[in-house]
Amino acid sequence: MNRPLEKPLPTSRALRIALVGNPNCGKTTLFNHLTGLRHHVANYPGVTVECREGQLDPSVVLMDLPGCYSLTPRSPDERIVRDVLLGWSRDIPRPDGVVVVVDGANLERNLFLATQIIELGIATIIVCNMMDVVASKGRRIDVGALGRRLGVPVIGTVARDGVGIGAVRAAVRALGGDGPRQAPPALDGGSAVPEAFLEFTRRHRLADERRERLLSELLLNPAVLNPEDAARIELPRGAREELRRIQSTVSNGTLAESLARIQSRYARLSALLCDVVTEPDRSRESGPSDAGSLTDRIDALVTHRVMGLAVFSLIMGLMFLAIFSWAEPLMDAIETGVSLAGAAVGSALGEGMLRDLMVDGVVAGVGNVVVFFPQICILFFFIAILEDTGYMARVAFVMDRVMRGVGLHGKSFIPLLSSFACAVPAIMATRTIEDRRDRLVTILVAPLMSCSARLPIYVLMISLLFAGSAWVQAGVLFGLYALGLGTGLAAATLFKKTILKGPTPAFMMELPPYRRPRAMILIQQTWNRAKHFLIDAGSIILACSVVLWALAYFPRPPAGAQWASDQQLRQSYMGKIGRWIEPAIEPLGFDWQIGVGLTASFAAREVFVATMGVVYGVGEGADERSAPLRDRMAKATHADGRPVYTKLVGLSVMVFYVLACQCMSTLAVVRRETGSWRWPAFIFCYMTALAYGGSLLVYQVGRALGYA
Amino acid sequence: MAGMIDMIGATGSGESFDCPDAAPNGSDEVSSLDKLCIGQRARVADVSTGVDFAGRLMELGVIPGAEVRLCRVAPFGDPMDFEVHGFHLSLRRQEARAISVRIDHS
Repeated sequence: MNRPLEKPLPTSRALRIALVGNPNCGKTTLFNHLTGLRHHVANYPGVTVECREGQLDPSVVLMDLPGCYSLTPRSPDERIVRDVLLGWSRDIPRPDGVVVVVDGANLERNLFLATQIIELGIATIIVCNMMDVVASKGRRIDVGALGRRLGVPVIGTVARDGVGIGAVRAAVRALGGDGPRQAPPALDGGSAVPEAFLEFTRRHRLADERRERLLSELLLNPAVLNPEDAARIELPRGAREELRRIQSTVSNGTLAESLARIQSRYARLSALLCDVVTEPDRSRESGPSDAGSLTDRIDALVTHRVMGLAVFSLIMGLMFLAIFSWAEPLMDAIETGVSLAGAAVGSALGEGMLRDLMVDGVVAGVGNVVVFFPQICILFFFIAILEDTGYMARVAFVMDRVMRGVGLHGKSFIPLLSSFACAVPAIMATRTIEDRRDRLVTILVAPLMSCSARLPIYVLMISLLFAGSAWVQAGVLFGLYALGLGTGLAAATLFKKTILKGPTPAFMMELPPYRRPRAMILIQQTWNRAKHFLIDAGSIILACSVVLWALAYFPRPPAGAQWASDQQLRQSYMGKIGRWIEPAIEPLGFDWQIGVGLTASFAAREVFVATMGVVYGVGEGADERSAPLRDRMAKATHADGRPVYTKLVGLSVMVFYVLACQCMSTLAVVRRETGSWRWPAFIFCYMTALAYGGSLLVYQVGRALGYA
Repeated sequence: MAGMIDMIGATGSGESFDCPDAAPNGSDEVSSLDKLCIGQRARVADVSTGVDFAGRLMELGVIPGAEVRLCRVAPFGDPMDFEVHGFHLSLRRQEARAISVRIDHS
């Protein structure tokens, strides 16, 4: 990254403003208010973090950067923020101005970051959010005085209720005006940066005059040279060696100094705030207290020794039950719709290949997957509730002890939980994990959590084989999820002790106050994530269905001959592939038709269901075409009349899908996040081996115990 | 799954969190953060963890002089949830041990 750090700004383009703040300061709520529906998840190559961009108006683009606590990064997420603000990011241009959102209820800690940013010399506005919480604590913040002290505009808001948004909007527009940008106030109270660092920064022209002090301060941290560390700075080769030398000459003293610098910033902040914040009379005496607050009372329950675990199990149980029982009517409706569509298309088109393609390939293939959309929505909706209320952080708090047992961090539990929805965002979410090894271990085991794409397969098999009680169905489903989680934890222990050996990381996490979940955000998040499922159904799965249909349809019987449906499938290319791998999968209890499904779903596991639709749809009479897939599978028999789908075979299939990594998107995102094909290749291999071994174990032990 | 078993074993071995009434001797007592009882307040005296970790703790406001209160302990005995500067920060017992505090009994 040997390039000028000050990029000249193109003159005629929209103003780019970054939104920055501590986690949980209400930054995203403000972003939603400012941009309305005019925003999207920006997709920067190389930056997989969810970085949303939106328009304030056509001339102002806002970007929502990840939450961070300071400009000395501890995680890849925070590093992105620092790099963007310093103009070092390869992919995201340096913003023209920054809106720093601070939590008024937690002013000192939030201003720590805000003052660092002001010192960067970027045009800055401070939004002092959660003024309602401040008021409820009997505290008063004089935002005008705060603005005068800091030398930047400060605006008080209650973003949740939309209070003060207009003022923020006006102030952001004013950042773009021709008015003079404020000079950074003299906040650096003379904490000395060793001359050697300043000189180094100047000589390598790493920053302009305004920022050289701050940059030199950042260079003091030895981690900036560690290629494995989130805090690293990319420097020219020669400069790297030189910096190492300078660091070694001052190391011990500087480390103490860097802590002293943090203290002195806090000291300056509290001096600055003394006549800005008016505390209620009692507070100076009694100190911090939120005992008896709603958050406190909820926490007393959900982190209770016994009740806490009971509540967690209850929530998970409710989620799985809801997936089955609430979705049922919707699924029935979609199923009916699909069969009606099939019949309509069938009668509209004349007898022939085109009709077979449309009815058996397109409608049956896509329809059989779309049926699961309601369940996927319910799953994503539950996860959105857990995230939006703040309960997710309590899960990390409660589970940290368990995660420490496997050598990880409570924070690793959150990506694992979101991985139950989809491994792709979960792997991106590992960016909040500070330690590189822990992050890698979390990435390696996240695909073992049962994602929403596996759900159609589980649902198909469970409703086929365990019909009857909803509780039994929910129980089996819960067991599958538990199997994924248990295997994941065991694998993490193994990796942490072998290939990614390292100490158990220190744990430090903020527990945000509980917030009432907001319907709009829940719906937005559910839709944003679930729509990918529909997009896939319309693209990848559609394409796969057509290819699979062709593989099953050709070769056609010779002229004049008639093949029965099972004969057609057996003679087809698909049948040949299935029978070719049959010897390898027979010990797992799979016949060649399941083998077809396995092969077809290697790139995307949800294709399995579509494949089964094609496999059992081929060549059937038109009158049977409307029967749902599971009815046809229930009727499937081996040559000797035994049913193909026994409970044991179903379990074996499901265990295979719990453990196998059949998802191109996951492998691609791992490649992006780790920067090499080595890790995705490793994930694919170890999970496929696990899947084969697991299924083999289930089927052979089951048979030995006398289950057919 | 050795870790899981280890975890269950540790559940019962946590320290007692409900302090007997401390002797009100009126003087400051030097202790460490992990020794606090639930609901007890103390002032940070020194943060002596590794420098990088100490840096982050201090950036979050765990600086000498800051008031800290132990709010609760997780179901398995670790980590601990502290209130500092009006927000909740959870730390493991091991890291809390490295933060020395002054408990004011007066």
